[in-house]
Amino acid sequence: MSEQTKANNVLVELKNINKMFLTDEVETHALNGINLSINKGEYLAITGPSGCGKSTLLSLLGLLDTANDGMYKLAGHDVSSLKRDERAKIRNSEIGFIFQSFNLISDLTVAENVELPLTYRKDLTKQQRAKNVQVALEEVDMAHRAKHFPSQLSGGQQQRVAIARAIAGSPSVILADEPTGNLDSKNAETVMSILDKLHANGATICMVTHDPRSAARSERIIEVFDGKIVSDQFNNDVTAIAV
Amino acid sequence: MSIGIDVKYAARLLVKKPAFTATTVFIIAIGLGLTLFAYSLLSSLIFKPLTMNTNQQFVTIEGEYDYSHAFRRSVDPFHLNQAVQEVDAIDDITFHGPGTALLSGLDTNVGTKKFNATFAKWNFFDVAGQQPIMGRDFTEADNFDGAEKVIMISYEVWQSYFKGISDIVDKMVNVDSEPMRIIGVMPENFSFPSHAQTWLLMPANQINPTKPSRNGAFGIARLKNSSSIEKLNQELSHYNQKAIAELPEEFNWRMRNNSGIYLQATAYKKANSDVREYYSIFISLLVVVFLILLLACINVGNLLLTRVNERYKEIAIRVALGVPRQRLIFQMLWESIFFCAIGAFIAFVLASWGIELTNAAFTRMFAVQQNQPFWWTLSIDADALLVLFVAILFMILITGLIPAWRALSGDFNSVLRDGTRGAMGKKASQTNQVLVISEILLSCIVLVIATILLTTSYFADKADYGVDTDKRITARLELPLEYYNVRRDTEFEAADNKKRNDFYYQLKSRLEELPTIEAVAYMTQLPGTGEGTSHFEIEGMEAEVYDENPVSNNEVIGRDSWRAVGMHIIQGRDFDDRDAVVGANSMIVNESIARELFPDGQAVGYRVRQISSRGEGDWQNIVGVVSDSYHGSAMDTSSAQYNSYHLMDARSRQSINIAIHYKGSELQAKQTLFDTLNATDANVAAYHIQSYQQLIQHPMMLVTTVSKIFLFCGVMAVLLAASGIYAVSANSITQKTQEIGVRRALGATDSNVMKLFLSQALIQLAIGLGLGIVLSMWVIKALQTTMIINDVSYIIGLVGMPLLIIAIVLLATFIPAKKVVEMEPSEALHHD
Ligand SMILES: Nc1ncnc2c1ncn2[C@@H]1O[C@H](COP(=O)(O)OP(=O)(O)OP(=O)(O)O)[C@@H](O)[C@H]1O
Ligand SMILES: [Mg+2]
Repeated sequence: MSEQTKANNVLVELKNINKMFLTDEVETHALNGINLSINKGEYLAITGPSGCGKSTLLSLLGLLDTANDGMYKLAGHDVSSLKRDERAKIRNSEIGFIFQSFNLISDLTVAENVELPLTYRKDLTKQQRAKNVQVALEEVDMAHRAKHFPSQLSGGQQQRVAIARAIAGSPSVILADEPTGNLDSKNAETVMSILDKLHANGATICMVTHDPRSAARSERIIEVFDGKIVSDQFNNDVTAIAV
Repeated sequence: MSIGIDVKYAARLLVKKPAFTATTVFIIAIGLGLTLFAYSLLSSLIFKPLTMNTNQQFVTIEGEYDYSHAFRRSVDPFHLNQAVQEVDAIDDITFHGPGTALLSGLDTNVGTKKFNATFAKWNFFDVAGQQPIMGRDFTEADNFDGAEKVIMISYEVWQSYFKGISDIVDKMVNVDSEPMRIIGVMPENFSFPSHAQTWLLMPANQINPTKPSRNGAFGIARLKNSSSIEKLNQELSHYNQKAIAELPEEFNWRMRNNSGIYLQATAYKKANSDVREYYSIFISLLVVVFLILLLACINVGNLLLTRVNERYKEIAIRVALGVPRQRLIFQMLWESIFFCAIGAFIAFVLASWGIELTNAAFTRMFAVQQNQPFWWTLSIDADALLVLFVAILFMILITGLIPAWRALSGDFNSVLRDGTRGAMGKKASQTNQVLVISEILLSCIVLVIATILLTTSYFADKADYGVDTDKRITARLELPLEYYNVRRDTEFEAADNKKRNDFYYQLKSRLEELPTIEAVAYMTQLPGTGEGTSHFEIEGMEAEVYDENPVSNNEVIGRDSWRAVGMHIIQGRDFDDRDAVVGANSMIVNESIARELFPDGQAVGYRVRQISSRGEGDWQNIVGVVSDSYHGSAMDTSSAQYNSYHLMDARSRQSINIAIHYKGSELQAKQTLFDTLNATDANVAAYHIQSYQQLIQHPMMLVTTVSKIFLFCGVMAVLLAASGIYAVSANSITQKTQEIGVRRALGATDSNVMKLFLSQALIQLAIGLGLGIVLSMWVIKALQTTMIINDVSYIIGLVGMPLLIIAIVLLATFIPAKKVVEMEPSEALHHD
């Protein structure tokens, strides 16, 4: 790959990111001088011990939080100092979230949950939204439960719906924080294979996990320790498989 | 002991959060305090049957209440005596009529003083179940022809007027210049039937008429315990049919409404005119207080609910550890019990204070006329405490069960599994919806009723009666019968008339000669007080049926009376010598009558006459039209606005009201009246000397007192409503923080989130206010039967209060929602 094509391929670029929390006069340096770039189509795993800053890093990537300083470019645009609503717009169109605790909204049906991010857009008609929802639910094999409420689903099924919600708006990057953390190994396997499939179809995925087996399925593994990236290596096995 | 641990645990929570505890206790104290107060007020004044140390309930047996004149209709003693033979629900009946007794010493060296007197049948104390502490009771023999005249006095009259001399019994005393023997002294605080100070026998022919008579009396009986008022009334209505059928035609006037109701039994306290007139206000007070109690319960329930939400995980862990659910419910109930116990104590103190204030207000209210019904004294008695206890239980249940129900209806497993509240989210938001809607609904009703009553009584208090009351004193003059004979339909009538008029006009001119007196007026009732309505027909415009003619209030007045009360002649002329001659039949009507009933508003020259089912009066010539004034209280639906005036000279009165316009001080004016009266005729006494303002406020005093209670209720309702709506809504929004985090992660903008909350608030408002306004209208409709509600009150109540609630709800939505919106989504997502 030439430098030129590589630069065009960069989706996320973090430079010297610092994040500090102030609680009861105590400063916690959650992130310390993070530099990271992620290419389009990459499947990245972030690992590290508990409390090292993985989730914080993912929140910054997902524009759920702002860094104290540093620069963040998403798809070539500087997003470090955008207004609240502009960030909401970017989250809506560019980013798909998958949470450890699913975070489906209990008052809404499966279909409504998946449709929710689409309703915040102005460019889609009702028919288009319904079609997107249908496609996303089929992708995770949950179309038959569209009218159910989250409380009627198992944890694994809820997480599949959550994935459908994340991909329904065709985001440029999917952010997942311990997506299998609340699931048993069988359900975890199903979820992981869906992520594999999405990646194979070209999705960019950034996943926090402390499960080495999950990490092993990604292309690139970043290890965070005490708010710093201490290792960043390509997962040769996976690359080998992928190639 | 597990209860010991639970109690300790609950107590620790209270101490740990003093602000929370204080707020909760305050709300409980308001709810319970108002309940206790309202119960004491309404049970003393209305609902608790009067038994007076007997074990039977007292009832009155009277004619139908006349709402248009606000008076109790008396009945013929002949019928009362007859009825008691025919009905089963009572053993005996006694009756009485009101009056006054002017006492002066004979054996004892005491001055002349006027007291309230009750003229009764000789079995009066027997039926009352009370015997004198000294001397003897009336006997039938006292009633025989030629028997010595006797009087019974109250303990208070004995103590204050007769200085408590020990040998009072058998002493002679002058009663209205007639010597009578004091036969006994009644026990302390006994003033049955209402505010009696002395008791005299009715004339024998009035006690035992042998055929229907024109006499009037009010019956009292003790209901047998095996019977009820309904049963007694059934029996009476049987008797009424018979009595009416046998009634000679000349007594048709007793059945003025043709409703077939003649003798009618009423619970003793409910027969009181003030209670009758303002019954619906008392009932609305009950409604308002009950709603405030509910509102307080919901507020406290919500506060405790917030706490359960904070402790939700802890509760889940306890359940997981195997704590039985009943045990948890009890634990939460303990907390409520603590709060309610402390609140109840403060409520007791608050209610006692309110009762003290109300008693003081009643004392002031009845001071001038010394006519406080003896049961109009509030106290917290055993059954009030029972009601407090029931209210506490009610509160403990509502405040304890809201959070307990909520806490135990969630799915604890999911809480423990992943720490989210997803599984209980739906239940929680339903609970909150119900809470917010009930807050809106209750606040709406309470505020609408309270403000309508408050503004109505405010405007009534400030009402313009069409007269000048500034620098005026009023009094009632009574001409003693021994010096001023009233011999109607005899040769002496004209001379008697002239003697009275000479006195009145002499007093007037003597007063007006003085430099400190501007003018003097005589009127049977001064504007702003007592009214009556009678039908009258206009010559050439008569209605087919007498009662389809217009009605007006009639007053008898002295010459040249208008300027003393600030009224003035608009058309025609004032009364003069021409009207004083017999047969002149001159009359003056007020502006409203002229404007609304006569062509072009020109009334002078027309003839009118009074008309009733009994027949019609003489034709009267309208000689003038005077400016409008109002009689009766402005809040009362019967307040007259059509007034007709007749000259005193032809219809002179044994007693009349005087109004004096003075310069200088009120005290000086009162002294001047006193001195001039003495100089004119020392035998004539003036009573109820007071400023015109006081006179006018008097009929409004009960309403003014009650409206102060409403003001307090209203302020409390606003406080409870605002804080309650805010707390419930803020709580429900805070609980949605995490959901909002999710929505914002998915790209919801600020306005998306705001719209979500506002649309929810609007739905809640629509339901709550919709129901609230409908229910309030229903209550207002009931109120309107006895009072006039003016337009401004309607607007403030039905438009202003809903707007206030809308503002509160929008603020209560906007502020917490803004807080959630401004949170970083990552923080919101981890909120619990
Ligand atoms: N909102 C916050 N306020 C204060 N401190 C925070 C906040 N969020 C995170 N932290 C702190 O920042 C550090 C990093 O937290 P983070 O959640 O990123 O860890 P993590 O690597 O995701 O851990 P885990 O594997 O346990 O999820 C921790 O010390 C945490 O206590
Ligand atoms: Mg984490």
